[in-house]
Amino acid sequence: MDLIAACRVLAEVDERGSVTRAAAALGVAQSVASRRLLALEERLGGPLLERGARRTGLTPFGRGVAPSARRLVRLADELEMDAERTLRQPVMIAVPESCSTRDLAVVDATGRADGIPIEFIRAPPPRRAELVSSAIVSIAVAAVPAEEGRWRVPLGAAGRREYAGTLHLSALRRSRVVRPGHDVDTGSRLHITPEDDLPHVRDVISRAGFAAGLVPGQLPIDSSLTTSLATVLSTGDLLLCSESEARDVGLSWRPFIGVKIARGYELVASSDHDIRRVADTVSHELGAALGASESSATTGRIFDA
Amino acid sequence: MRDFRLLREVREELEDAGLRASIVVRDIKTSNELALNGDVPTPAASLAKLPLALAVLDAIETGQIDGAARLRVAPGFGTSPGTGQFRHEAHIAVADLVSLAITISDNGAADALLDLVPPAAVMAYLSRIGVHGINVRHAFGDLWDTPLERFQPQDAHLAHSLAIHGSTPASGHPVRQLDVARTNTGTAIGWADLLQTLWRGQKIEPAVAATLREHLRNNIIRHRLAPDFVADDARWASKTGTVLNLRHEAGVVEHSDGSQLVIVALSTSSVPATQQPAAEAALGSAARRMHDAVRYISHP
Repeated sequence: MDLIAACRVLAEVDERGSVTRAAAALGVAQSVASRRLLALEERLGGPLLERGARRTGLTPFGRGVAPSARRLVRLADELEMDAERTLRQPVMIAVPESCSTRDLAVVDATGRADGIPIEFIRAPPPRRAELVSSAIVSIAVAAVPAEEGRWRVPLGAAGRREYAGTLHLSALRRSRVVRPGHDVDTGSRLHITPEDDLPHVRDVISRAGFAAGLVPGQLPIDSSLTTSLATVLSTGDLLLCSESEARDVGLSWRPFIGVKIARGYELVASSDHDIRRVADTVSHELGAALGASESSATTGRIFDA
Repeated sequence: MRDFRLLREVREELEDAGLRASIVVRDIKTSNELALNGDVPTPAASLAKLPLALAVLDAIETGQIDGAARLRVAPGFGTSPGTGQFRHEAHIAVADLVSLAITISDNGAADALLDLVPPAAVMAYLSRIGVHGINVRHAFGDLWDTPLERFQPQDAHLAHSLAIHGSTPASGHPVRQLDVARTNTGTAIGWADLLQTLWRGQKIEPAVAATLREHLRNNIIRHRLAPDFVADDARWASKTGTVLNLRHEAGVVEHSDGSQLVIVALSTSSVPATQQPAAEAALGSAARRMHDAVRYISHP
């Protein structure tokens, strides 16, 4: 039996005086209301309704349990309202700092269309892990080795000058000739941003760079993307980044040749359900915001239509 | 003040290239000197062949050893240049072994000499000529038995990472060739003292000094500091030392105007790669800058 539905009938009969009026108030057939009361009588072990010819309404037993029934009904209503409100709350996701505002807005808009509004916090990789483990956000886009991730974002070198084709790291190798007073490495440094200051990216590019004859000073790890970008714009150095990131900051991008290097991203949350909900609705759009190779060709589906 | 700034710039340039280095540049006549970390004991690698050669040449000069006597050198099967590449046993005269050990850094030749003049005798000779800061302890074949030789070439970076990151406090190291308490070591000042003594030729028998200087001028390993010092009016005489992430060179540049400067550069790299041309170039450039500063002071 549906205890709550039966309690609703009981509360209405108590308030309105008859089963007929209670059924009308609840919008159910009188037979349905009666059946529910019968089931409730069986459950509680006593008659709730006067069934004599003279009298209608509740028995003393019925009047005795009616206040509890009303409380139960009110609690059930609150429960449903709470559930609804909680479901409508935006999901907080920690994302890389490189995600563009428009791409993230597309993710949010797509989520909203499916009843999942999404809000974002941009943070570097260690901070994202911290945010999700301290439950400040419900989901983090975690940086993982490319082959393990849901999304794979190939990296290349971006610079202020227009270059076609590919870049071999050995092209950055120092010349033995040094002009006095001239910074030998100008234009031949590859800046690494905090987003890539991780073993599976930083160490791979460094090893490849050292094998190609570069020196550690040519692979600086900067404190922020802004710092890197400022150096790239002022000196002609290169920035290690994805193609979409380069487009966003107005640089010309080239993939590497001879070294395959990519970021990997995976969703991390304390609840698998949160991950499924977000992945099912905005996986494609989130991938695009991250600059993932599979989905970088198209932007969000609702805006393409 | 000017020196302080120069040394700081040099140190930064070296750091940029992934190097920690001891560099000493000294004018042989005036003893004017510029030193960067000059008194840090550093594994010597093949630089230790210098005192060995000196002790052997001295023993030949004083008649303790016959320079023409042939020593048996075992085949090396590819472990070092020269006799290290030999497939068959060779018999080579002592004096020629000295030449091989210095000019092409032949480990087999040096070890044959070390059988004749053991480390203790080399140390006794160094103390007799008043050179301190150098320790000769073991044979040179050991230099080719590092973790590097146990890895496939594509995994060489693992051996280098071990060399770079494995150090223990006070310059200890699980790799024996890099542990200053167990291997042959020297400070940049020590090597500079040795070369200055060799060029001044006062405490060393003149014939011995002349022979060794000539061998050093004939050193064929010239990719490290030589490019920054050789010219038609400048001769470069040196000995290099290389093991794992260590790149050393100690030599003398002899300018045609008569000035002679000792250049000692001992470096430790933080880059896990076997070939590091940029590090070699950075070391050369740093040494050259310090050389120019000393020469300018010596000849204002």
